[in-house]
Amino acid sequence: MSENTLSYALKLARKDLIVELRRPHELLSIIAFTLSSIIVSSFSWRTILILDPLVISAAMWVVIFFASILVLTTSFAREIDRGTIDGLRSLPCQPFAVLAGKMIYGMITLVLVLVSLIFSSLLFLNLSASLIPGLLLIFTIGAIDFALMGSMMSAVLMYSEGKNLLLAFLFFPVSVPILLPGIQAGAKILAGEPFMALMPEIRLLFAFMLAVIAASMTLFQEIFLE
Amino acid sequence: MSEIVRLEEVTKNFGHIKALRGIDLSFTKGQKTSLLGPNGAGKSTLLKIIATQMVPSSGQVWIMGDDAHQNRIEAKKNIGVVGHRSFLYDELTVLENLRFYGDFVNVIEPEYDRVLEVTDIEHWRDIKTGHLSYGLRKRADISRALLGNPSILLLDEFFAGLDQETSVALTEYMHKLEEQTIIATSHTPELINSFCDRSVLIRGGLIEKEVQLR
Repeated sequence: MSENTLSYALKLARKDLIVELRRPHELLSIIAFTLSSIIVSSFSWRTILILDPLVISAAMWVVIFFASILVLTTSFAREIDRGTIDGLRSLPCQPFAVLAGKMIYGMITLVLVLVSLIFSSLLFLNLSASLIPGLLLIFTIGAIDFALMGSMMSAVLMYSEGKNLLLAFLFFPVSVPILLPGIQAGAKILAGEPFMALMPEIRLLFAFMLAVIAASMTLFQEIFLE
Repeated sequence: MSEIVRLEEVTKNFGHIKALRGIDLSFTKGQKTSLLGPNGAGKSTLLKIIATQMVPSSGQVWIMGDDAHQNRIEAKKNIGVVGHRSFLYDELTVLENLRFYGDFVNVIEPEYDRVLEVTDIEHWRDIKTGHLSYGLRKRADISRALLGNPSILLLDEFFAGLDQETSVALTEYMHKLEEQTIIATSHTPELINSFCDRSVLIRGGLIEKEVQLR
């Protein structure tokens, strides 16, 4: 990505964040969903003395997965619905800058959700504070993967009727390469395994990230221009 | 007169539907052209192709002597577009919207004052565009399209949804733009032809008639 493309992408992401923060009900409802999911899990697990780390990890990833759908379904759909997509098309920059802007916006929003997820898990699932760095690392890589893949999916589906519904359905199969290593890595962190034990999963998550970036750079221009 | 835009045998197909069937047209500096025709004639498709937002099925578009679809970024720097739907974000003020779009064409601060002045919208610069009336929003959109002083202004269904008073006011702003080559679509010729000096009638993806108005 050239310096110009990155700087344009940052401008686009900044615009999206300002727009989102001026109508914060969506972001707040996603954070409320995150908190309530963890609290409900806490209620239902209160009688179980030793919980399998895989179960906790899976529950946390399910929350991130649904939060990603809520954040990313709207990223291009809203531009189409309000007619501003033609404004984005008229910008004198590489089309990929527009996608990269949406990706950066998605990443920042998901990281905000992630922070609320991890801190609510510490409180309501009685996780140890020493797990925070490991969980933050693995969930942040996963959230970046979701943001990249979800933004691209949102772009692919932006012209279809019922795009929001389609994205929700199609998001699951393409998320499997994130969810499987992510859940495993989360479980290893919760079980107290050393950092090096996470390397196979981290490699898989990074490989997926590179694959999505490569596909986006190649295909987005064809999708974006009518 | 120097040629600013030239279309050569431009066609556009959407599946089996032929939206444009070989358009040859050229536009000179400062020339104001109305593209008229019924719904589905291909006017908006033609504008999108000139704006490099849509790729033609065949044919070429030359902007300032360059192949527009080979040099899209350069071509877009020379084009301002006002769509029939606003490109402005409701949650941002008029000035914030202009700054967002202006950042992509390296606009310097006094330029914002200039474009706001052209459409008499300085008074509303700090109001969120979501709170503006349709007519004011349209004026803000024209200001946005004028950022960076583009040589070409493309206006799609320019008077759609506007009342008579606002439409007349907007034609006055158009008269002020002597430098720009304007290409405007409409299916109501009366207003649009009041500031255009040439009219092109498109029907079924073909040019049916070309009339010099003044």
